[in-house]
Amino acid sequence: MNTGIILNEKELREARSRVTALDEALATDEYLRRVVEGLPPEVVKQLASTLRAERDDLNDAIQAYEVAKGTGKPTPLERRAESDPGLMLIVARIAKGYTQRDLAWRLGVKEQQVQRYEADRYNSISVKNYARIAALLGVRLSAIIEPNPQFRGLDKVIDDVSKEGIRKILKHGRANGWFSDDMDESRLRQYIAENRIDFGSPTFLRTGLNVQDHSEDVLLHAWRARVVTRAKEVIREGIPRYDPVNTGWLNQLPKLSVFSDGPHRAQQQLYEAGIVLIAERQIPGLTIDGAAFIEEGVPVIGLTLRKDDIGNFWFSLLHEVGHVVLHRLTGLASGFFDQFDAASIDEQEAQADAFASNMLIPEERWRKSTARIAKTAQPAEKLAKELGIDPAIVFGRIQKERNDYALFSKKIGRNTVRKVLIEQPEESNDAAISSGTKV
Amino acid sequence: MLPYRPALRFKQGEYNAAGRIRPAMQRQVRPYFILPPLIEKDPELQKVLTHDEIAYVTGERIGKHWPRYPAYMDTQYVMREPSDEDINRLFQVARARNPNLIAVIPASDLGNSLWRGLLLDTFPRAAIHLRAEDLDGDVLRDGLQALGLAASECEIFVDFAGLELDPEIATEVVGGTFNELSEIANWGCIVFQGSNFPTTNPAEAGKTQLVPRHEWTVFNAAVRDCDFPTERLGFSDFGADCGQINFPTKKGGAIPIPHIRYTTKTDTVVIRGKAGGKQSEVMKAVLKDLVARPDFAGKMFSYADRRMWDAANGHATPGSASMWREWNMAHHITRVAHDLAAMSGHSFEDEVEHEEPEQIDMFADI
Repeated sequence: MNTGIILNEKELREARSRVTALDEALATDEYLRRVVEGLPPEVVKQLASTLRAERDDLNDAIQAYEVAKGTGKPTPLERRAESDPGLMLIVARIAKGYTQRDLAWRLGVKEQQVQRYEADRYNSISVKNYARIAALLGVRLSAIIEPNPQFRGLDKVIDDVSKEGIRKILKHGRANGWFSDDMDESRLRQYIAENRIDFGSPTFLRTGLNVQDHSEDVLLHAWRARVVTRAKEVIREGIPRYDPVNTGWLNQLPKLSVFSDGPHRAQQQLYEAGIVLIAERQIPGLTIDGAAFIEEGVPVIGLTLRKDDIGNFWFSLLHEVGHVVLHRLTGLASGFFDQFDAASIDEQEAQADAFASNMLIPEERWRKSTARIAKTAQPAEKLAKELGIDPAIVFGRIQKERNDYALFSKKIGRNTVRKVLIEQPEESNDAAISSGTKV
Repeated sequence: MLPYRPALRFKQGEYNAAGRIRPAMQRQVRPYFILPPLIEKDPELQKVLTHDEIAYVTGERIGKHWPRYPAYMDTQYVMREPSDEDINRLFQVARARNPNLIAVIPASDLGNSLWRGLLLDTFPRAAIHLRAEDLDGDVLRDGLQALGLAASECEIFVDFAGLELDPEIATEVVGGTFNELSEIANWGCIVFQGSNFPTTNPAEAGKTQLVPRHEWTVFNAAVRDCDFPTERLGFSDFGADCGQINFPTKKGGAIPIPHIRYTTKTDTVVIRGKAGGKQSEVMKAVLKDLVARPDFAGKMFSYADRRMWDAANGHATPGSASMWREWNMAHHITRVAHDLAAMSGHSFEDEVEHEEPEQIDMFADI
């Protein structure tokens, strides 16, 4: 996903002002420290790199618009439109040097009509009208028939989905209020097929995952669909726009862990930063911890809370926040699906791991902390107090580093997060697996 | 890297070992004597001592076993709720026997005016004992100020006893601690103190167990990693023993377990005698096993090695529990002093000793 595309002067002004802000932030280390105040040096380094990428992308978007408008060459802007048919019409208008009023006059419609078309990216225009505008703007509309087409009917899309997988989803979905009792096997199969067409093939969703067998794919799809549905409801209610340059909220996030309702507060803080956090139990058999992806332009984080303890929750959350903050331009659109107990050699996963670790316990503090080698709880509690985080996070880190999960096992805040973040099934039936199957 | 600063409980086996190693080595060894809790019966005198008696007895033992060279004296455990006067008297009596005794001041007690009167005029004027978990820059800075002592005038012992010293993790922690301490103040010397030896005998009856000397491995790796000048870093372990000082007292005298703790370059070899049988025979078998090992350093390595070799070969008695401790410690001190000397390009001669005349068996051929 890129910053997007600039299609008018207002968006151009906004983009320029953001580039100015980024130039200032990145001008010297001192400025940068001010922008990312309070964050550990390792995270600052990661963010600096992300901010530079954001600036480059914005500059690219500005240049594409200016070239199209100034010289009539649409190629750079066309590239950013990523072959979207609706956007191609707008790009063509800009390159032709037409204003929306010019185009309206030529079409014999009011200017507001063109404004509405463009605001909607021509998504609801008829093919006939699309062809008419395309002809006027010199856009060639074409369709190609593949020589050996693979039949892509709904049945074909889900022919690898086992009956057992479907039954598992039905059972879990009913128990957790995903859909109404009238959801049957055939409707669910149809739903999954549609869902696959929307979201892509299961293999596509395997980022960071060590999928045990094929049946897990459909479980992952169903889980994602449920998270998306719930996220869409939040988005529909209205959510602040996520601003990648604003990182002021990050520093406070781990500190919320000291509150007993910390996970809930984190959810609220993420919402204010323009990120949706959905906690949704996983379907039995699917060993996934978390996910991060984009839905309707909004970053969405999904957590299963598969391991219900404080350390795991905060690490999983910060890992997914890491994907949002660091990988918005380089993979978030495809989505990250994570399994923390499986070894991963993926570079982006390693970056998200480092981000989460440093956000919770900065490396320079951890390296020399006696909590790492302590046999008693006090050093870990002291470190947590100094960092302003829940001691359970430090105990969890010790367990992981020493690979000894019996150590301090009563101090990791087991069975405390789901209570806060996942509503009880009876109370939570407020969002269906899809918007069409409201309970 | 020298002197070597072994932390030794001030008990018979330990002070005998320190007092009997060869003088050339004594000059490079600066024992960190931890006066053990004397709230129970003194094992030698078989009576509970008053605070005055503790001062007197300690002084006498210092005079007898370590009268010449500098040593540290840690009085944190010796008495139950001692008054400043008690501690003062303890040092006064001991320093009458050896004026080079360096007071060990707990980091948490730096503000106590008692210590101001116990500072020496020469370096190090005092030693600070800091539990690694309690490192707090403000406490140290404020304490030094209250004491009127510059960090460069003293040595600070960072005690990692009781912490897990697996080198994979501990090296970073120890190196990081050295760096943090050096950022707090310009210390005359930072001394690592630690032990990986367990609090219970790790060997089963009749078995041999190797305990890795993680404290040594970790120290060496941390020295390489940290930014503090190597010549101002020191090493202190607890001999062939764990770092726990206060043990719950048992009623009645426990029967000693015949065993030896023998320090090699990398491990402490614990050879434990078989259960049952006559103690002297069991221990002789233990020592026989020891001297047959390829990592036995040789009978000329230290007086203790010679003594153990003799006992293994029937030329001397296999000793008592306090003698086993003495041999363990004397060999250990010699081993570590050798290794530390090697780190700074020095070396010690092997024990210069004439072979003990052996009596020829008059009737061997009969």
